[in-house]
Amino acid sequence: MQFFLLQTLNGLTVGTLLFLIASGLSVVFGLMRVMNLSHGAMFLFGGYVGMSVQGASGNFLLALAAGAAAAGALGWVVQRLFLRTLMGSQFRQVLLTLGVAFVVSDSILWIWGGVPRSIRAPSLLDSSVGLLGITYPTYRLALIALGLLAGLALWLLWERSLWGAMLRACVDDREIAAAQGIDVATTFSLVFVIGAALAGAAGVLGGVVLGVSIGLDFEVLLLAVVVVIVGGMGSLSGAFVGSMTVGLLDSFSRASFPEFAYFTIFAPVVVVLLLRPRGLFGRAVDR
Amino acid sequence: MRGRRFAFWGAVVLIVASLGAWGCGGDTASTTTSTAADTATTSVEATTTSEVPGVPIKIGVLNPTTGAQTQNGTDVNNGIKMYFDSIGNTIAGHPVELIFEDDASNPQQGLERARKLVESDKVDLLMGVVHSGVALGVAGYAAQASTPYIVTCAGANAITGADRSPYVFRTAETNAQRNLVLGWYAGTKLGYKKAAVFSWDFVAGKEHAEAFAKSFTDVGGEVVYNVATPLPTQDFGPFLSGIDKSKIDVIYAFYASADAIRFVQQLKEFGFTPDIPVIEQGSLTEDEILPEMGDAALGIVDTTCYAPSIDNPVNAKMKELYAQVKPGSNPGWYVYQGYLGAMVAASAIESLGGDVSDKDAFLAAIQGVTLEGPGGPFAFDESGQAVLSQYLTKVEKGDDGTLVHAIFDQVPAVSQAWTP
Repeated sequence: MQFFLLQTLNGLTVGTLLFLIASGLSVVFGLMRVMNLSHGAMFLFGGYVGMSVQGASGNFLLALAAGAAAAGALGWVVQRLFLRTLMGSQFRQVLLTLGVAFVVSDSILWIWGGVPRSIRAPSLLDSSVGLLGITYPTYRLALIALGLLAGLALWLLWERSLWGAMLRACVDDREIAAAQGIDVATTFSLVFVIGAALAGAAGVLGGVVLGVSIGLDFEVLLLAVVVVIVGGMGSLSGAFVGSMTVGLLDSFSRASFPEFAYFTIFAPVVVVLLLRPRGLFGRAVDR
Repeated sequence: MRGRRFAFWGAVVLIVASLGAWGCGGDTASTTTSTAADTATTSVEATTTSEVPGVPIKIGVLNPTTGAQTQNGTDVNNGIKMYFDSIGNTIAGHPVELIFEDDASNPQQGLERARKLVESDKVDLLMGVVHSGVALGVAGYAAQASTPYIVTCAGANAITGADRSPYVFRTAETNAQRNLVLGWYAGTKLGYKKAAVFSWDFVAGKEHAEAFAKSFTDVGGEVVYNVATPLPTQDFGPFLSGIDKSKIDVIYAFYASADAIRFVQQLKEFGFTPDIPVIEQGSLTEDEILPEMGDAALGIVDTTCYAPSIDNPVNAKMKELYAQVKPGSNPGWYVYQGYLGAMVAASAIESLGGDVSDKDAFLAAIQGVTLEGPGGPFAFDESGQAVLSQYLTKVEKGDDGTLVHAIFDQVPAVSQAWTP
């Protein structure tokens, strides 16, 4: 029972972080049909900026805001200066995002150096609580709650707002959406920036659990890609269900058979691609 | 259909890219660390001294100065340069020319640069390498090319194992070496009986964990849990949740770099420390990353062949020299290894009066080196592997509130086949 509770909480923690990262990746993919391989770099850049701001100010919320803003700004630059000029040429865009990922990652090494750093939890949450006979870090519980809130907020935006409807229309059929008078390019820019900012925020939030270090960008991106493939591209609920599935599966399998940690992450990808190629919640984006 | 195909290729590109990134980290006890300051990524750099008579002695130094191990490689290079500068880049009247190359912790690049050093620069001696994969490749090549090679950091047991070539020497410890002492010490002096062993699931991790487990069980200890986690592990929560605290009285861990910070912090978050003591072989609380761990690291016991607080004149000299390179900071293990390697090379060349043209005499001279290094007495065993003192240290709070390794015991002359 204790084992079950602990692993469930662990799985939800990882799932929450994955959701914050994968939601942006998934929606951008749905809009652009391009896997944004620089998404992990946005995550790490946000984390490092947050770490510096926390070091200077000691304020976690300020660090969180700075991390999100910095990653969002970086996303805006990448989208505006580079991706836009390659609109419609998807392979080049994928390669370009990979290039951006390497450039950002090397710039981080240049600015902050390669010594792994950590972000401290806000003092209010920097403790552990006893819970039905287990000890669990308070910060992680708060993170799970925050993840659920963020999920709810994004879902409302996506399903219940006019802008969300426009967004879904763009994902489903870009040409028709444009013909209806929706400004696809601006919508897309905005989504790209929001996705990057969410990744940056996740970098700060996750930095408390994972630390920030060179290489973390690709580790995280790999998991986010798994989530997007399992959950389905261009779907917010898919990203949510995918994140939690991958998080829980990862947590339980790592505790039970640590040697197969990578197998148990990628096995669901194979199964999903075989049985339901468009992912659990994938929308019919193919033409 | 198109979207799916892009997803697939995206994933392929990503997996290949990330494997490449991890490959760089796949090595021994060495950490993947670096600081922005002074990590000039100069891949080629020559230090020469003119106006000295005698045939110049060329030493090729191969270390990572780009990629994830930039800081480590730069530290080792600094250590080597510091020592040769301190003797005026002259040995027995012969000028010493150091030629630096960057292996980027990549076995192919390492091999290619070693070739360049030997075949086009015509170096008399090769030194360096942090990454075990690179070192094994370069060692094989050095044997083929009949060029003596002093490994300064890489820890793979095989480098000075059964198949070692007479051209290869190592001034650092093997992966097993420190753990032999630690297992015995934990089981006897510290009185621990039941251990949970954590390590990375790859070659170096196995070498560390197995050596510890062997010496710990030899003195009556029992390994209750043996947990091998993937490299890297972002979250140790699932692994820690599988451990029943009442069944163990000590935790052994082999991690470095970012994983080390996460492991130590998460041990505290999940309520293992401070109740259960943690022991390790040096990389977990390496001086570079120790400040990031905060109080969670207090009380961790480790074995090491070098700590800045070692009190002898050679170490005092090295610290003084390092204060000029990086004011206000102490040399760490990597600087020490570079410095020691340079001392050993210089001592061998000195004993030949600077004439390194006879290969057999050169090899015998290296093999015969004994000296007092910054970590105490140094010698080679019969397989060209360093025999070094081991120091037991504990992480404590220093006078100024920073975390320090305080030495509390010492085991002299530890070889790779050490037994109590």
